[in-house]
Order: sequence, then C-alpha cells, then structure tokens
Amino acid sequence: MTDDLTTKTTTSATSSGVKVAMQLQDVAVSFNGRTAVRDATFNVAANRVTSMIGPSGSGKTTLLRALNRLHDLTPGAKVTGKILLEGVDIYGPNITVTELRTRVGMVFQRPNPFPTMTIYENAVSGLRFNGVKKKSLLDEAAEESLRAAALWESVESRLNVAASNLSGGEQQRLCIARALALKPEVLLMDEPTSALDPIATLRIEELMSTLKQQVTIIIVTHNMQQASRISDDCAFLLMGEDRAGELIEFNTTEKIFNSPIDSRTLDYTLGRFG
Amino acid sequence: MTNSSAQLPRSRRFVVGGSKSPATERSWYSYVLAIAWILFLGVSALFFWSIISKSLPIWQKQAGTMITGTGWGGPYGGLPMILGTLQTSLLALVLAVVVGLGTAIAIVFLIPARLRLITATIVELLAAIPSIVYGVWGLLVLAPWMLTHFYPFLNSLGLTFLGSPDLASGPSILLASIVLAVMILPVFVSITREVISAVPQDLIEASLSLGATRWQVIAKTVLPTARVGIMGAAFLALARATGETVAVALTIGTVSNVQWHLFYPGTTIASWIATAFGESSSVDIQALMALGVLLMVISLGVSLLSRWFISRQRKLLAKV
Amino acid sequence: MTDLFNPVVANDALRAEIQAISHRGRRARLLRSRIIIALCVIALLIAVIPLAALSWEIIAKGLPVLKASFFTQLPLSPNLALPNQTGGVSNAIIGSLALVFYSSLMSVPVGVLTGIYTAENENRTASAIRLMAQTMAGAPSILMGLFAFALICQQLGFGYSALAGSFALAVLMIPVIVVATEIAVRNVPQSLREAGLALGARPHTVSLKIVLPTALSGIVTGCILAISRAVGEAAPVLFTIGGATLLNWKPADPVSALPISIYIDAKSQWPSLRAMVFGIALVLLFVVFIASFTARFLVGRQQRKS
Repeated sequence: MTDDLTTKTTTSATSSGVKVAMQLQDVAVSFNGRTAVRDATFNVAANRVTSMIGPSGSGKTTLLRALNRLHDLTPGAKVTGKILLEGVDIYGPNITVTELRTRVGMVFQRPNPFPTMTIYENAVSGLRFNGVKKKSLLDEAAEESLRAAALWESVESRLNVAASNLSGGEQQRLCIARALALKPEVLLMDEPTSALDPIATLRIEELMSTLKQQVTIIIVTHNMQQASRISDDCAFLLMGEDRAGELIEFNTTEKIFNSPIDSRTLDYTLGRFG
Repeated sequence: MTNSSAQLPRSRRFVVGGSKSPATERSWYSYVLAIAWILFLGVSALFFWSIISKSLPIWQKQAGTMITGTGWGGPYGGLPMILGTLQTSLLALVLAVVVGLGTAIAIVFLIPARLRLITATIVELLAAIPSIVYGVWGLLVLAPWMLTHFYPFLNSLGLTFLGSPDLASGPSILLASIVLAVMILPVFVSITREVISAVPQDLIEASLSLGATRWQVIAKTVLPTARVGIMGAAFLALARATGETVAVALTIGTVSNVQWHLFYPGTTIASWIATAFGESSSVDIQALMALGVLLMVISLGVSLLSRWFISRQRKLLAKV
Repeated sequence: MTDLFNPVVANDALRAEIQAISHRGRRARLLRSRIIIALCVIALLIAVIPLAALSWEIIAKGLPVLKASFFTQLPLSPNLALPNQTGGVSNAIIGSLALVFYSSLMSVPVGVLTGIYTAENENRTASAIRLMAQTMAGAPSILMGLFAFALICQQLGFGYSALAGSFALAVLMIPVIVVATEIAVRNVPQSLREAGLALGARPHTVSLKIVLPTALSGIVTGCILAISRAVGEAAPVLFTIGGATLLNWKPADPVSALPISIYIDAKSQWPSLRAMVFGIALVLLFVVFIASFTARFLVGRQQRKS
C-alpha cells in the first residue's frame, strides 16, 4: 500500500496487508468554480467501516457523493483529483457511470424506498435496472439482501405489500437491502440514521458491524458517538477560512478520538465546537 | 355561549364572522362577507338551475332522441355533437399527451437550467392566450396548409380512411382536433412539469445510485411517482378541450352529421350551441340548453376527476 | 470498456452472475436511454413549432393592420367597389372596455369578499363555497353565455345588452378571483394575525388592517388574471351582447367586443376583413401578455418582500 500519498497530518490507517477498497488522492469538488471540499487524501480499507465526521458545511456529504459520481448530473459541479476503486480511476475515460454505481451503492439520509413499488420490487429494483430478469435470480438476490439487512424475517410474509407500509427504520433497512442486492463492493451511507428514532438507529448500527464482512462501508455522520461506536477508520473534515471544507485528519477511529494529531480534531471530538 | 377556543384546533385560522363566534365579535364586516358569499352561492345555484330548467321541456318530450338521435329540428338529436365532442377532445388529448409528456420531461430534466425558467414562463403565457386566437390561426393559417400539404401527406401514408383531400374543404374534425391539441398542450405541460419536478430529488438519486440510466430514472421512478398527477393534468386538458367553443366553431365546420372521416367537417356540443344560437326559435333554444346540460355533465365530470387526481398526487407526495 | 470491472473481484457466484448479466446489456440500455431522451427533446421541438408559428403569424400579419384608423374608426363593410374598406374596431374596443368595467364591478367585490370568507373560516359553508368555486371554474364558458341569456336577456327582459354580457363574464371571473384571494389570504403568516390579536385588535380589524394589505398584491394578481381572461373570451358574450356597429357603452345597450369581431370577421368572404382579424388578435395577445407580466411582477415582488 502506498503511504507516500499521505499529506499533512493524514496518515495511512491501513497497516500493510489490509486490502484497500478505494483511494482518494487530493480530491476536490467545486460548484461553478466555488470549492466545496478539497485536499481529501486517504485510503478506504476494504471490509471496514470508514466514517467521515465534521461540522455542517465541512463537505462530508459532497465528498461522499463524489465517490459514486452523483455530482455528474449537477450542472457546474467539478471533481478533481483521483478516486480509485480497486486501483482504477472512477472518473477515467472508459468508465461507464451506471456500472460504477452498481459497484458503489448508496443509502440516503431519508429512508426513500420507491413509493410506487412493493417491498420485493424495491429490493430487486437495482437488479431490474441492470437487466436482470430471471425470476429465480431475483428471488435469490432479494432474499439474500433482505436477510443481510436483517429485514427478511419481518417482511417474508408481506413481500408484495407497498414499501410505504413499513416503519421508518424498516424502510431504511429496505434501502440498504436495495443497495446490497446489486452486490456492491462499497456502500456509501449519507447520515443514514438522521431521520430515525434511537432504537431504529441502534439496529442500523448493529447491522453495519455485520455488513462490513461483505461490503466496505463509508458513512457520513454528524453524530460523533455514532462514529466512535461503529467506525474503524475516521476522516475529520472542517470548513476552512474560505468556507471550503477540507480534510484535517484521517486515522483509525481509535486514534482520532483518543490521540488526534491536530488540535482542531481534539476540539471537535471533545465537543468544543461544531 | 359556545367556547370559541374549542374550534381552534380544527383550523390554524381564527374565526371571523363564523356563526359560532362570540356575539361581541359579530360586526358589520361579517355581514358584508356573508352578503358576498350568499350572492356567489346564489348566482352559482341559479346558473345550474337556469340551464337545467330551460331545457326541461326537451328532456320531458324527447330525452332519448336528444342523446342517441341525429338531425336538428323536429326531434332534436344530440348524437353528432356528443360524438364530435368525444372525437375532437380525445384525439386532441392523445396528441397533446404524447408531445406534452416528452416536452415536460425535456423541460425538467434535459434542457440547461437557465433555459428552464424561461421555457416554463413561455408555456404559462401560451396557456393564457385566448382561445379565439388559436381558432383564427387554425382557420386562416393552418387550414389552407393542411388542405394542400397535410391531408395529401396522410393519404400518401395509406390513411385513406380519413377521407379524400379533394372532397375536404378546410374546416374539419382533424383540424379542430389539432387546434385543440395546440391549445391544451400548454395546460398539460405546465401541470405535468410541476408534478414531475415535485418528485423528490432523493428518489431520483436513489435510482441513479442503483445504476439506472437516465431514461430508467424517468420511466421507472419519476413517471410512476408522478402518475396520478399526470392523469390529473390530462383530465384538466381534456376538460378544457370538451368545453372549448369558439376555436372549434371556427375550425370544425359545424355540420351536424355523425362523421368518421376526419378530413370532413363535423361538430361538437359547444360549437353547435355557438353556431346554431343565432337562428334559433325558442324551442330550438330549449334544445340548445339541453345540449348545454350534456356539456355541463361531461365537462364537470372530467374536471372533477382531474381535481381528484391532482389532490391524490398531493397526498401521495406528502407521504413520500 | 475497461477491464476495471473484471469479475475477478467477484467472490461469490451470485455476485458474478449479477455482474455478468448487468455488464452484458449495459451498452444497449445506455443506447436506448439516449434514443428516448432524444425523442423527448424532439417532442419539445414539436411543441414549440406550432406555438412559435402561431405567435409569428399573429405578429407578422397583425402589425401592418394596426394603423390609427384601426383604433379610431367604426367598422365599415367592404363592397365590390371598395374591397379594402374595413374601417376600424373602435366600437369593439369601447364595447370590450365597457364589458370589462361592468364585469369587474360585479365580480371583484363578490369574488374577493367570498375568498376572504373561505380563507378565514373552516366550516361547512366555507367548504361548500370552495367546492362551488372549483366547480364553476371548471365549467365551460359557453354555459355562462347560456345562463346570462336565460336570466338577463330573457327572464329579466334586458335583451341583448352590455349588462348581459358582463354578467356572463362576471360569472366566469368570480370563481377565479375567489380561489386566488383565498390563496393570497392564507399565505399571510399566522404570526402577523396573532400579533394583531395580541395587541387587542378585534378579528375584523386584524383582517382589514393587517391581513388584507399584506395579501393585496396576491388578490390584485388574481383579479388581473381574471380580467385578462374575460377580455379574450368570446363564448360567454357570443349571444348576450347583441353586437353593435356604434360606440355603445351603456349597460342596457347592445355592444360589440374584440373577440366577437374576430369571430365574425374570420369567417368573412372579404380578404381585407380576414386580414384585419390578425390585428385584433394581436391586440388581444398584447393585453393578455401585459396582464401576465404585471401579475408575474406583482407575485415576484411579494415573494421578495416575504
């Protein structure tokens, strides 16, 4: 693993021998020339949970959305630097963005199952978008992903019910299942519990610790306790002088919370601002 | 004395002039408001009552013929008008929906953002153009062009069942339908545009994140979510088409025959009322009032459906 | 296509199968997406063509007609000796002005006050009014003509008159004004009313002194849109105003109106009269666009304020 990429106070969180799922090299995102986030350089270790924390305006979500090229359709958005998935530049000339997105899934802030689809249809929607038609394959993938999202037991008997009948927490787990059904290597989660109650939040957090065995997770959260509870590695971002977010520090979660290198990280994790 | 605070939870608004508000708050102002709404309800009720009561003799004498018969005078047959109304407005609706759906999608998702507002403004301006202007354009500009170019072109495609260009005179059911389509297109597009831009952005992003192509996002996520509202837009456009009078009266030729060849003249309920009224005896006018009742039923039915669809879409989006 | 997404990384059979299927059809799906999206853009162009053609024809053919005599003269009939003798449409201009004036006089007070009532009350009467307003707003305008004919011309014995025509237009305008007023009044922040009530003002004082001034631009916008619709409507006045080739304007007189002049002249055998129709249509377009822009301006100003 290349540690010479690291700049500033960023150190490689991954000891040699750990597989790297994604590499960010000097990534910056700007909208109509205004930089929203920059200087993001770190490695995302495979089968671990990497969290991105920081106050609002620090560009966590913006950075996350660059990882599956969701900024592509935003007019005026520009992503610079390199983002590598399994060593290949995802903004490279030969990349088909729809294919990339089947490999890097995403879960959003608000539970957003497709309102016109049933639970089953939601679970297999990604597969259907990508041309999978065979019933047996869809059934297998639906069951596997719903099991992985710890939802199978409660919905097995009502797969053909509208997804809107589920509770908020169940809906969010359905959204996770929907993303998992495509068997992505990486799962991006954008504050996935911010719209949920504490019990549903806890269940999603438990889920993530088991999920990381099959998928690399990158989660944005504004909740520091959550980041410290669930993540293995942690990126701390902060809004700079010019109102652009920047990466302050990247390290294992343990080090970020217990022995950060940058004093601003310490201030933030101790709740002195933010 | 009723406790007025007990009613407050039902409404965010305070109560003025409501019959249950404390007597001290009853003022000249509430009486003025009451006069206004009583006038409004009275005139509206009179509206329905007048037209219906004037047509009663016809319904008593020949209700069946009115709906299924042909010919005007002697017994009055409304069939050509009813059929013509359905023909023109449904054909116009199909044309407007096909073109309008693509247009609305293009406006919301495909054209650059800075063109979006101006396009939307233009569409709304077009919806405000008086229908007589569309009629004039149809009769004086479109009709001659269709006669020399469009009818022969359609015939050359093998659509000879529409009629022969040599026997056509200009005004026709097809012309009226096309003019209607152009007229209701802005109505349909402006509501459809609103409905599909109200589809939550995160649903669109969720589909994109699952590897959907742009078309799949539209076809599998946006349109199904907006479906009910789009139906509402279509029915509103249909209501406008069924009730349209002068634009059709100028372009359809107003001949009271059942006509299936679309190159030839026909008539609709509204355009027949407008055209026949001038030379009508008092009995004729009763029959025209009866046609008016039919139009009322069709139009109000369609626009009620449209409103029902649109309000259901609102509720659906509120839940999403 | 790059070998980035080589199924080598796929470490289970299901994943390998899904990725293989997904990869196989990808080009076809993207192509289909592009084709259909192109069709949507073509639909936009198809929609633009007739609408652009219409505006262009009306402007190009209408402008040459708009001479001073068009506005000041009474209509004349062309004849074989003078085929281009058309006169002007001063009678229709005066008639339309009279109709708009009388119909506004009838519809604005009733519409605005009814709208205020429905906005500030949440009872059965209010919902009945709301339902009626929406129903009337959806009724075809020719029916307003039938109604005014039956009631004003026949029942009340006024015959063809400006009064009958403006009554028909007022019936058309009231529901538009009711709905617009209700929305405008409801958009006034509740905190404003509460502030007034907290100062001890009586509800009707709050309504008159605080709510109405705040909602005024929305109400005016609604009235402008209703009026601009009434100016262009032919169907309600077709058999209620009688038509007049004189400068009539009194309520009991038969009058003419711009849309009616269009309706009659468009069917004329005389090319000169058919040409004049474009001039009248242009005037109507102008009025409607001015009204729309004014309404937009007022709405925009209101939004900036709040």
